[in-house]
Amino acid sequence: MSVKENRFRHASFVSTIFLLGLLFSAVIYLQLAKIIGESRHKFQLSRENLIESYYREVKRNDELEKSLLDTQHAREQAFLDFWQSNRAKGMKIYDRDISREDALNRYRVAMNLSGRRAYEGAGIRVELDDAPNISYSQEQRDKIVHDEQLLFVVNSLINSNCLAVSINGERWTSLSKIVCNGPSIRINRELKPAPFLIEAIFEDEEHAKECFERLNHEDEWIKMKDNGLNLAIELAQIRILPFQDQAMIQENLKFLGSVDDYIDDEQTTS
Amino acid sequence: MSSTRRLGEKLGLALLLFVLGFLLAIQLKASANGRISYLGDDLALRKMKEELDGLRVKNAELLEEINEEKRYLSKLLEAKENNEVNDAKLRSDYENALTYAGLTDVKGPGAIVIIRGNRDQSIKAASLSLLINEFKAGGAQAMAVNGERIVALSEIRGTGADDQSIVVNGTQVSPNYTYEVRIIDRQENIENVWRVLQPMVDEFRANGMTVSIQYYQTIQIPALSTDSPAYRNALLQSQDS
Repeated sequence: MSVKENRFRHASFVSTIFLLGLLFSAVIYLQLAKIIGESRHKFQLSRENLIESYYREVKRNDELEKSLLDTQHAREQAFLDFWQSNRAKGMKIYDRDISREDALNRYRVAMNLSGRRAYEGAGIRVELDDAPNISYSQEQRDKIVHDEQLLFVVNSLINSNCLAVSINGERWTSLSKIVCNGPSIRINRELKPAPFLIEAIFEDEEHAKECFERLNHEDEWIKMKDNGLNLAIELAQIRILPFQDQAMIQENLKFLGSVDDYIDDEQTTS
Repeated sequence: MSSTRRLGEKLGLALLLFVLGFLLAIQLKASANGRISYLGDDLALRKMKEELDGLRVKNAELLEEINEEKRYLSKLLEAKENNEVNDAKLRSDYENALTYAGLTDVKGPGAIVIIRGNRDQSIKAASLSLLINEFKAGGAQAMAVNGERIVALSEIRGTGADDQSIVVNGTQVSPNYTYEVRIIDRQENIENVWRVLQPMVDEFRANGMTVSIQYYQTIQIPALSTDSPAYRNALLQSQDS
């Protein structure tokens, strides 16, 4: 075979292999593309399902909160109706007689102060977040939201006679505390990340507006703003759900003893 | 050149050309259709999925709470309907609500912290709030300041020149700048909190105040007084029920 023929044969071989390779790879790729296409289609479908499921749960959450509010009010009213009935002549609490009216008043106040009463109405929403683009070093301590800032806001709202307070959805009760935990806080026993949303309900819009104006002019609030913290405050319709940590309530009830007779002298530890 | 070697060379060349062709095909396809994104790269969707999982848990808890309320409601209605006075459970629920709300006198192991100031230097409302928060964080089950029970809506407010006086539950509690803070909790919890509070205590002492703590096997903390403005406010706020 001549050199020319050899070269021709070699070139033909190379071209054939190249074309076969191209064809074969095109076939494999089309198959892969079909599989990917189906996955993308499934991905599109699951994406749409996810979004639909999300908004369905958001709507359900709203309905359930309203239902809880209504059921709680009905339960409270039924309790009051029961004790107002003729069969309930009075109450004996720790062997002390108290009148029916006094018992009912105490119940109303207890529902309020123990956080077991849900509220919905005119209120204030305060959002606090760390200053943007910070390094969380000791020098930038003032640019981070700490428990003292959150306590300041909660105290300001309580000092303005609000009916109820919540922090990131957690109801503020007699034993509620704020514990810093790095970028999060622990409120009651729940860990909540920033940003921190403090909501309070007031008797009416007038009281809410008064508190709004007062808080905006507090020295501590202005200082927080000057330090660059992300702060926002607005008047809004608020819904605050009851305190639901039964374990925390039971722990408190088990620990505390009732006082039947007041002891004058307290016993000291040895 | 041996035939085996020639065959090897040809197979090698074939493989190389095959891979080249494959790569070319992918490049052409990618250029035509743009990037392919996967669910894993979509951060917004991942966040939505997390929120959805959280919502499902929350809704399940809400449903349980609603069912519990409805069960209790139906018992109350049944009792009223049948004129039955099975008040043991109702009384127990009633007393528990009062206890957790701070409307009963309570006792238990604990400690009494006394902070003595003077006209020029005394503890401020913000520091008192922080102190109370720290004890609660440590597990305090009940607290009082100068006889005023700390409840959910206890106001702790500075008044007067330089906020020298403090009002708790609508009552001024600092006629002589001395504050007695009562805490009911296990001694080891209180000791842990006291260690954490040392910088604050040192600062009080440096400012001329005296601070002491005494532990007790049993101390008593009074209920929120029904005469206090705090009780009257809470009652007014509850009147629509």
